[in-house]
Amino acid sequence: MFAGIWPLTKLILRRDRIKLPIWIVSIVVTLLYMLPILKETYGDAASLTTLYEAFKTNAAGLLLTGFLDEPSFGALVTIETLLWWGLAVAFMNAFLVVRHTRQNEEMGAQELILSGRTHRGTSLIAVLIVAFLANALIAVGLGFGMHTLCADITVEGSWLYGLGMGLFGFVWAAIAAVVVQLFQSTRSSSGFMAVLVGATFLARGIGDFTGKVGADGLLQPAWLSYLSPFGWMQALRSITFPEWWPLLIPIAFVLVVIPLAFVLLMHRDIGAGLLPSRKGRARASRLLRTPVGLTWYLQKNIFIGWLIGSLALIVTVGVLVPQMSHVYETTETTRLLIKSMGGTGAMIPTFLSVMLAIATVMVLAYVVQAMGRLRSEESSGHLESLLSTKLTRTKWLVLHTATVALCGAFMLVACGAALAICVNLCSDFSVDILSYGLAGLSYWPLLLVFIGAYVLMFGVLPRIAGLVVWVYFGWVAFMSWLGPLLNLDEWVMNTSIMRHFAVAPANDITVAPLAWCLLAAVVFGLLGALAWHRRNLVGQ
Amino acid sequence: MKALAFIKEDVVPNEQRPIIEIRNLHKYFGSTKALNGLSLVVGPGEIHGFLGPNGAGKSTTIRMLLGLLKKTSGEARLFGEDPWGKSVKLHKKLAYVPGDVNFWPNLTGGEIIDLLGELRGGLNEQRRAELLKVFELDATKKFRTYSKGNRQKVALVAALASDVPLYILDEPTSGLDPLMEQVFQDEVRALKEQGKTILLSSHILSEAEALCDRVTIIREGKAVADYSLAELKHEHTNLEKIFLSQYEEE
Repeated sequence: MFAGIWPLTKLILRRDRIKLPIWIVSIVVTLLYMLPILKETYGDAASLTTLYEAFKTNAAGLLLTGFLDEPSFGALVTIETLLWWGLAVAFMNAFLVVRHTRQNEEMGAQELILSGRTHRGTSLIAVLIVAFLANALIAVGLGFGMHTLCADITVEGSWLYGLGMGLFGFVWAAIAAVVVQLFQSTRSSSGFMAVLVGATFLARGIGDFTGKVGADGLLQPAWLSYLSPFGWMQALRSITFPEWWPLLIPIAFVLVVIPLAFVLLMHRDIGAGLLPSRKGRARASRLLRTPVGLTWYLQKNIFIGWLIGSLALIVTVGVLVPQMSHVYETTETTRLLIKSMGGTGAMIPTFLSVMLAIATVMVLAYVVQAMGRLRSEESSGHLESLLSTKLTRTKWLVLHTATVALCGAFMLVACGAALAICVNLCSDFSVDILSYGLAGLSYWPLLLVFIGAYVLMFGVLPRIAGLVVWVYFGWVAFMSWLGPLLNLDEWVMNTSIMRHFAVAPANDITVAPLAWCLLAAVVFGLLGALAWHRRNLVGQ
Repeated sequence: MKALAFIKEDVVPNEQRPIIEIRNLHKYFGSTKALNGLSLVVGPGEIHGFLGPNGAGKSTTIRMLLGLLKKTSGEARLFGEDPWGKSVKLHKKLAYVPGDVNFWPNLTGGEIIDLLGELRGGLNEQRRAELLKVFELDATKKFRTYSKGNRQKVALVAALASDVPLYILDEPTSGLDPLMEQVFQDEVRALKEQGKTILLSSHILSEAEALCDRVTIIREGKAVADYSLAELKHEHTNLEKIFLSQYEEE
């Protein structure tokens, strides 16, 4: 069982020598970097008290950032960082394990590895060792860094926070170790992991929302939160009211789940999944035979996945609205809260509009991922076969681009309308479905700019197109979630294109930015198409 | 280079326009020279072997003929036209088997064959059924579940089921077993009888010897020899001797 562990561990470290350090360093450094910024902005007692009054029962806050225990700096740091950085850590671990297990098998590399003096379980042991080391580095980085950089955080709290985060990461590595045994393809494994991360994040949100305030004045989340690794990490309350015993939950979980992964691995064929792969059709359907049909085939799963994801968020929000009616007196704190979300005006419409904006960020993620198909079709070699037929480069590009643009528009309208319908059905409020649908659609030019930008990058610098657009997307998402709280300079805020859009329907839709975005999208798209027409096909 | 003397420009009859005409073609990727003054002429109705060691530039040449890569300098003509500018018009007249067969993992072999056939402008139903039978390919399996040889068969059936004047085959038999290799050779001969032109890139010398009318040997992006197989027979030599002689000079 243990033969070959060291060479396989070295292989993983060698293959990930750039990727993994980037993940670890950016997770630790950005979190530590947030501390002085938060301290400067909200560090004084008065702001903390005001924030506490505003946030302790804030619906959006409970759903997206977790609960605020007390008017202290530690509590503020918790809601600003714990869950969001947790998301990054979860994805780092999920992708790490999938990459070195299922992907190896799919490529056929696993066969070669196993033909050497290695046991079939060794690869999984090796990747779990690497995951353990990576999470340990994150734990130590945070444990050592937080109290060093910030006097408000105790040594105990700092280490508990780091350990909690590290263990949380290893829990996800363990879950991935099981998931890769079930699915035969890398894509299904990664996709299922993403769904699990999203579902447990949401489960914790609902659990917190339906929780009760206990005798000690702290919010006790409902049972749903304790089904989620996010909930276990939160239960430590590491930098507010530290508790060490909840560390036992992830430890026990890992001790059960990792052996399960090995049992499954020992009982299946290499290259096969436990879920069987079915036979398919002998003939292509009439639709699939056309370029339009092929484009739809390649795009539909990404579309359906993100559509379900964004509607799940919207419906959750819509269903929870009646529960928040008790918060909306027009006090000073409510006004601050609204401002913190980047809005003005009444509570409920602002809350709904902000939620719609957050759903829009999900639709943007869909757009970037779906446009990534252009590059993956090219680098995988599929495009070579397609373009050796009568299909033109232009037609191929236009079909994908138009599909993404139309699907994106549909998702925006669907999110707006679904939000309005849920609110009308579940609460005493009544909102206009049409104006919510329209508000969703008002973000369409934003999607088009991203589409145009991707086409431009794809035409000019295909190898890094996805990277560049994802990084800018990350910035826009970061600014729309945490930007309003950070009191950044106006020009920094303005680098996020989404800030130029009105938070509709609470605020009136402004036409100028829409027109500019349309223009930019068209120019980007045309330049990109021109460059695409003139360049070589580039492999991996 | 002494070997260049083997290239005889007058071999192609003048009254017949060559299908593929490449002269002094250069292709640089940054500072690497993939093609360095390549010349290649393929006449109509000819099975032309395109031989050379790994990395000699065979696939690069083919990708340029398909308009997937842009030439740095020199001349390349397909049916007398520019493959980069007129690529789509030209693609109606050819079928292609890529050197690296890689299709969508979740589509079945049958679906991929139909799709590529349709995109080429339709495929011959009867041929499709015949080819599936002779190559013994199960069209209902997902592409990712095929073995290497079966993946190759998907690409072969998709190309051979199209009725076009030119077939460009980039190492089409890699992974095929000897029986299937035989089936492939029979199919190629049948195409020749119908007057089709075939560019066959390969490094399997016996295959080239069995099938080709002419061969061009390339090395480091340059044609170093061009023979008709009839000439070889006449001179009592064979391809292997010629091929290896290109490397003995070093």
